[in-house]
Amino acid sequence: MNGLLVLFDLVLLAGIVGVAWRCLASTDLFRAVVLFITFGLLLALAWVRLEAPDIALAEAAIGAGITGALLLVTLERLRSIMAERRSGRPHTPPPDPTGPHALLRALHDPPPERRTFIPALSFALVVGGLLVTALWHQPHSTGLEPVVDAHMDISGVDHPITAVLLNFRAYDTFLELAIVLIALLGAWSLGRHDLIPARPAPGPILPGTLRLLVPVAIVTGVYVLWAGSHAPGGAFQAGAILGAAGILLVLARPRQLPMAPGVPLRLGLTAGVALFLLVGLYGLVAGHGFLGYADAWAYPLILLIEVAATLSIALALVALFVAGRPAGDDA
Amino acid sequence: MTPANAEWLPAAIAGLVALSLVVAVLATAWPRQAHRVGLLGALAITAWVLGLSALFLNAGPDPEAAATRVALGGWEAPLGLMLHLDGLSMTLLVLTAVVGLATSLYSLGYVHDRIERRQFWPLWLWLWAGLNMLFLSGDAFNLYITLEVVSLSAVALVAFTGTAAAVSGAVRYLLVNILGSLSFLMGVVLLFGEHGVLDLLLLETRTEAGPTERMAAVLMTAGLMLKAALFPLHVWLAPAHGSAPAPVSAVLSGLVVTGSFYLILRLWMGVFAPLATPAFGILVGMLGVAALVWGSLQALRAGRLKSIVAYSTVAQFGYLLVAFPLMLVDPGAWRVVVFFAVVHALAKASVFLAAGTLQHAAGHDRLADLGDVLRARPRTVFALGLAGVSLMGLPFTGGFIAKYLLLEAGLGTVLAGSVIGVLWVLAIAGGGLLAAAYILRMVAPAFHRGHEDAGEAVSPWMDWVPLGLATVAALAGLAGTLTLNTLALTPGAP
Repeated sequence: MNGLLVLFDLVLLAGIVGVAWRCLASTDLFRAVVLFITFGLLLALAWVRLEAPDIALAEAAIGAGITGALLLVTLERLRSIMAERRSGRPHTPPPDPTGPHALLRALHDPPPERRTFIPALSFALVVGGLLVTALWHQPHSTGLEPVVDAHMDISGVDHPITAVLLNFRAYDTFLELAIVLIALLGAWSLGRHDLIPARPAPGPILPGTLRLLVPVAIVTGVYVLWAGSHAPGGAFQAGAILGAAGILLVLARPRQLPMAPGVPLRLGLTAGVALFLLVGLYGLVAGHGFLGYADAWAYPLILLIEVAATLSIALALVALFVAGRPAGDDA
Repeated sequence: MTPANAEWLPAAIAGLVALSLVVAVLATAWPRQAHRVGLLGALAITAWVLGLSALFLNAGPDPEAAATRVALGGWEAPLGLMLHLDGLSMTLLVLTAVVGLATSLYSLGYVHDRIERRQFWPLWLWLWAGLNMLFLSGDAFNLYITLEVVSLSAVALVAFTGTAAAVSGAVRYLLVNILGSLSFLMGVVLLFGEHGVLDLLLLETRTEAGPTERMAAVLMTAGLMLKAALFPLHVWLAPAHGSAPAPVSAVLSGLVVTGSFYLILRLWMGVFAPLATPAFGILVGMLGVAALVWGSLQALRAGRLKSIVAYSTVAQFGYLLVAFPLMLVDPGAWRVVVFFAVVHALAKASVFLAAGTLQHAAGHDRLADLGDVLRARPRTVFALGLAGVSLMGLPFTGGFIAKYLLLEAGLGTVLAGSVIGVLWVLAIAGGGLLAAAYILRMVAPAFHRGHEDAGEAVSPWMDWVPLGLATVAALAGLAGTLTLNTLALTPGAP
């Protein structure tokens, strides 16, 4: 049994390195994106083998799923922009070598790999070798596990990861929520998105699948959120699953999507951070410290924060997929 | 420490983080009023920081008593996260507040379009909050996250105008930042794996000069050098800083880069202190000399006003590197280095703001065609010159005091018998001359005979704020003793 596991680990490791190599070496961007998604899924498996199911869930949902969807939609847009350029204006001036056009050209002209190949490979080998040496000498440290375990009874939840993320180190988690929001603000500052026209799919398969998948995704998302208090799961994973359901709806839309209303959307996007901050401020005023809870109130407050955070993350991921800000946001 | 201080200081520290976050979240949720929220918030944060510094200085003069750690959520390290305030972070918080307030006032005039305003203010307030949190953080992993908040909002602000140059500059800046952050994070992971704690003070007591520490030091320092655009990892700086909107360039060159430098200093004075050897110091110093020469030459060659200013940041940060070998001989020299960084940030921010005013008035920033506008706008040119004089280090400005103290430390190493000290002294003195050359290049057209053309009208904010900030930079020399005394309230540092 143990021998089989070792074999599995070796195959997994070889797969991760191989897929990463193929992804980097690919001159076709579409193939590179697909390989990147595969890479994310293999990485999620590796996290499972490292007995970190929380990270595995996050990696599969965000690293492979949402990031893959974002990369694919970017690719599609780059292609349509390029097609427009080719057909609409045949005699365009030569593109600025440093501007975003350079990105467009990279779609077709393979990058000059040969020249950078040897330095890049030797740099990676040296850094990798040094890292392996440093890790080789590391003692087997239990980290903070004993300290966390000793405080589990007053953390308000039963799952140590959730206790660390939402109680002991809530400040870090708050800032991670803020980073998702800032990324969206950055994308929105670049422009508005156009109306999203209907894309009626021929045949019954797509609408039928959607009708089955979306409710399942919503139930799964809510379950993962709820499970977070005692088992692997939580706001980020649940938000990613709900966001994926939203992305599916945006992708396979039988009718033109209505423009999102500005004010409710903004409130929904900031709900997670705002509620977290309010609770934190209450903790400061009530004497539990900034972002602290009274022991008896820890569980309901954590649950409240997680629900709001899930909503905000799901909305932000769908909004990132749509990319531009809705016209309603400028009103 | 008086009992009242002991009670108020921790609450005021947590309160500063909370206040910066409330302002940022409010502006995000209520974009229609974002500029009003931003203005009120800027005033409130500045007032809070000044109040905090009064409390902090009152708690002195014993550094152990003044420096304060606050357990967030009531969880002490190693379980929880600690905020950490000492003389070093207090100084940089005040600097951030001054430059932040000036930038906010300037932006009232600079970002006037209704739609642009809604996008600009939330991002800028997140950036400010990120900087405040970075300077107050006492935990290795939390530092990584605050760095991410700062870089991500900075990248978004660089791309803000949406032009091809701005977007490609921003993408480059993003890639550099991600590489730097990941390198930093890898170092944090190594340290955590070895010692099982993330709190900086606890790490400091546990680290020795082992292979893990060496590897972590290399990774974290390289990542931060990339972010701080320290030579030879500076190539991304000029396109990003040069193409950003003026208030953003001011904050990037004045504060964001200084933030990464602060972290390098903090780590090498604490966790990595056992690793600092003279040979390492000389290597860093050599990089500094190269940065001084190379950055200055680029600034002398650049054709655009904002490019000159951006390259001068590369050159001026050379001084900070030159100071590393000095610190190994005279450990107390680190305070001079921080003072230099503070004065540089004030002067550099005002130069960028003044350049922004000129660019707005002329519609471009090609130095060759700026003469008419320069002649017609004496107030802005005076701000440019005054801040420039401080950058050069002419007498009676903050820059003079800073360079004088640096030279003094350099001569100290020569007297201590170090031959290479001569090189540092030459670099410090010669760098000032090179700075004088490129700064005179910026203002020289104003003194030529020719037409006067004020160009497009600018708002009074854009006219007066650069001048005000330049005055602060010049007068900073008067606050030299106060700054050095504040910095002395850093426990553990020499």
